[in-house]
Order: sequence, then structure tokens, then C-alpha cells
Amino acid sequence: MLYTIRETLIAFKRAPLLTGLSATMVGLALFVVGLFGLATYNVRLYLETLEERVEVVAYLRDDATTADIAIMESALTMLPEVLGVDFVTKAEALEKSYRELPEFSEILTDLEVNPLPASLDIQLRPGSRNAATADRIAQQAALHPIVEEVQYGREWVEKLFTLRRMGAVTTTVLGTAFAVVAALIIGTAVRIAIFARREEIKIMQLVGARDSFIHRPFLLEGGITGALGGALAVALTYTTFWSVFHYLFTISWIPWEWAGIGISAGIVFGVLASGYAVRKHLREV
Amino acid sequence: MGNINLRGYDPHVIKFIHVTKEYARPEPALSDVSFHLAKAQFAFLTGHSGSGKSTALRLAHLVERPTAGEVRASGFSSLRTSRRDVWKLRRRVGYVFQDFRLLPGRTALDNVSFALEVIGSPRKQILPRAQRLLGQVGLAPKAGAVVGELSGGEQQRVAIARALASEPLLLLADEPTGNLDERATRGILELFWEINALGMAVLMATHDLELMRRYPSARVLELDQGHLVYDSAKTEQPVSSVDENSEAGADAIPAPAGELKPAAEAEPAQPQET
Repeated sequence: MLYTIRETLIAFKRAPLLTGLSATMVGLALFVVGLFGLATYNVRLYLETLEERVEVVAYLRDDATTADIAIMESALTMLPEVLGVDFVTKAEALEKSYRELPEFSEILTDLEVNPLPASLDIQLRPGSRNAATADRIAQQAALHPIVEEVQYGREWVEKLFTLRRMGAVTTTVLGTAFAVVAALIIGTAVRIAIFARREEIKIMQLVGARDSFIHRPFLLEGGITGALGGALAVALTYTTFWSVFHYLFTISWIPWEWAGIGISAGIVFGVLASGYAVRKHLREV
Repeated sequence: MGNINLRGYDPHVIKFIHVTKEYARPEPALSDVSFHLAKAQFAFLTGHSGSGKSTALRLAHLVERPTAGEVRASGFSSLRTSRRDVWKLRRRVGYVFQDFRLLPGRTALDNVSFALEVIGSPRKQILPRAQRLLGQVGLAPKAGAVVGELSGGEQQRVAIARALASEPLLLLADEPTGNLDERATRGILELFWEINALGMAVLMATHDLELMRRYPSARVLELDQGHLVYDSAKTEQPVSSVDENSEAGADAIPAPAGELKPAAEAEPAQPQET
């Protein structure tokens, strides 16, 4: 192990530019992954706030009795997808209209009879805020005889869901592509390092070094390059986040576990890429 | 593994059993070559350049595998030793090159220590063992000298010390004196004889006939265009068709070419394998 560490340090000392350059390139490639991560995370947070507004509204007939309403409310509350049910009286509905539609306040004031129906507003649990669930809840609510009409923003909910899936797919595809780029860069850097030390490798094989013994310094080198690249990527992503947060608009920093996963991925890619490169080299000589 | 069990019983460190090695060229580099080298034997492998000497040594070190036939070196068969296990053979068979192949910019001691480290010697033993090995090749006073500062003969001594690091049973040397002057050559040969006297077999490829004449007790194997045309260990050398292709091959040593079976003095205890 001592040999491995020493040889790796010697390799870094002998070609600091090579290590620096490849770590930088890996860092830039992973930075792109980091940016996608940052964007995805914030889009997801934003979508979650939008999704909170996904609710099913059951408008009630004017002749519905308090007892009927109470029965319906408790039946709906018992459904597993339902977070809560709010009863909105006719008066409350009118008040809400005043508040939310101030431009119509005069018309509303002039009315002699309150035309707005009472309603039950059904909020869904976080995992159930999708079109299929909303549709099912709406159908169940419509079964109650006191219900006049059920509404929910069907198209809107569907679009939201599609948007979220598209975001996930885009991030996965582009993230994978740039992660592969990072692995290729590390592989190339290690190949150059192997080339620089090919005579030494030949001598090692000549005197009877095990392949694993020859591999180890290169694996460590690849891992360190990956770690440096990953750390650089996190630093660049954080700088970008900081600039955007301070100068453009409020966004959230990705969870630190994501950054940790990023650096670990850099290390794993580094070790795998250099392992592949050195194995290939040993097979060729 | 069968080849490891063999080691205790087999009196040979090298066996070439009908070995043929072909490359992309039309003529094979080695053609049906068979010979055995016994433990502690000293043999010259001679022939013109391109006659297949280096190929034979490379096969014996399993750098390459024969196209046909079998090579065994120190008990490791070319047919049964996987690429992953070649390192075991390398630790039993030392190898010395014409161009020394040392780590430039490092000292003589570093070069020998490197070999010891690479084969996993205990850390505390590396330095004293490297020093002892350099002493053995007569280079103790120059242990701290950087390779570039050493003469050719001295560099070759470092290479030999390195080859001895794993205490091999056999030393393969490919034109080890090719780059050396007369005096250094003599010194290296003396060293080989000393090493041989300690019980290590030596197979040395050379085209230096003068050198071979000075050591008449050594066995001589001659290759010509990939055929083994002469073996001094054989009591008789029947004339064969091989002779026709080797107008220039056998002029140095006044012996007819022969179709060879394993050398008589190196006859194995068990019947010859094919």
C-alpha cells in the first residue's frame, strides 16, 4: 500500500499539469451535471408548490342539509389519498370572490341573492397529486346526491405531471452523457500516465509483479483525479448558485447529499476508467 | 496445479517440445525446435541475427506463446499457465537484456530495490538484500550511483543483480554483452559463471563466437532460420535436410546440422512428452 501511495504521489509530482488538466476537464464535465442537478432540484421544488394547489372542488346543491354535508365530508376524509376536506359555505365563497376578484366586487355587491354554491374543497396527499387520482376522487365525490358539479384543473394537472417527468428524463440522459464524458477524460489521462510509465510497467512485468500490484497506483490516480474533478464541480455549481441567488432570483441549493453523491460518482468513474485503461494496456503488452 | 507439482521432480529448467512460432511473415521464427536445459547447466544459444534466438528466450519467459508445441520454463507450461499467473514464472526465471532496461535517473540501489519491492519482499529486508545483491555482482561501492553515471558493464551488472532479486532457478540473457567492450564482456561472463556455479542455469543468447570459444565447457545450441541446427550436448549429429537451408549457419562451429531430440545429457527421468 505504501508503494501504491508513493508511486501515485510521484506520478502527480512528475506530471502535475496532466493531473490538473484532467481534473479540470472532469470538473467541467461534472459541473454540467451539477447545473442540471441544481436546475432539476429547483424546478422540482417549484412544481411541488404548484402541486399543493391541486385540489378537487365539489359544488353542492343549495338544498343540501348540514347532516348530508357532514356525512359526505367524513366519507371523503376517510379516503387514503385525501389529506383534508374544507367546507366552504355560500357566504364564504362570496367573500372569497370579493377577495380574489376585486374587479367584480361591484357586481357582486349589487346582487340580491348570493349565486355562488357552497362547496367541499378536497386536498390530496403529496404522492397523490396527479391526474389519475384527482379524476378518481372527483368521480367518487360526484356519486353523492347533494353534489351539483365537481371541478378540478384536469389539463393543468396533467401538464404539471408531464413537465415533471420530462425534467427527470432530461436530467437523467444529459447527466449520464456528461458523466460518461468525465469517465472518458479520466480514462485518457490515465492512458497518458500509463504511456509515460510504460518502461517501468515493462520492468515490473519482467521481474514478476502481479497485475494487481501494477494496477493499484493507476487506480488510485484515477480515483483522486475523479475526486478532485468532483470537488471542483461542486465548487463551480455552488458559485453559480450563489451568483444566481444574489443577483437574479431566489433559488435553493441542492441537498448536500447530492454533492456527496456527485463526488463519489467522480471517484467511482475515475477508478473504473483507469482500471479499464490499465487492464487494456497490460493485455496489449 | 499440475505444473507446480512437476517442479520437484523435473530435472529441467527449460523444455522446448516441438516448438513452432509463427508471425505474420511467411517463414516461421522457430520451426519444430526441441531441447531441454538441465538445472545448473550453462548454455549458449547462438545463430545469426533473425535466427530465432530472441524469440526462443521470449517464449521461455512466456512473453509470447508458441504457435505449436509446448514450452516449459521452471515448471510452468505455455499450455497451462494463464496470463494471470505468468508473474509466478517471472519470479523463477531471471531475464537480462542487451540494453539493460534499467530505470533511468534512479540509483543502482533503487533499481534493485524496486524489483524487490515489486515482488513483495518484506520492507525491512529490501535495503539489505539489494545491497547484498549489488555486492554479489561486484557493484557494492557504486550502489548510490545514478544509472546514467555507470558504464555499460556496470549497468549490466545492476540488471543482473535485479534479475537475481527473486532468486530464480534460471537466468535468460539476450545478447547481454552486445553493447559492451571486450573487458566488460569478459567481466559479465565471469559473473554468469559464478552465478552458474551457485546452481543457477544460464541460457545466454549471443552471436559472439569468440566468447563461446573461451568457454568450451558450456553447451552450445545453434539456431538457423528458426531451426535448431546444432546442439553440442548431443553425442551424434545426423545430417538432415535442415543443412540445405543453412549455408552460412554452421560455418562457425564445425559440426553438421542435425534433427534433434532432447539433448543426451539432459535426458529426463520420465519419457519425453509430446
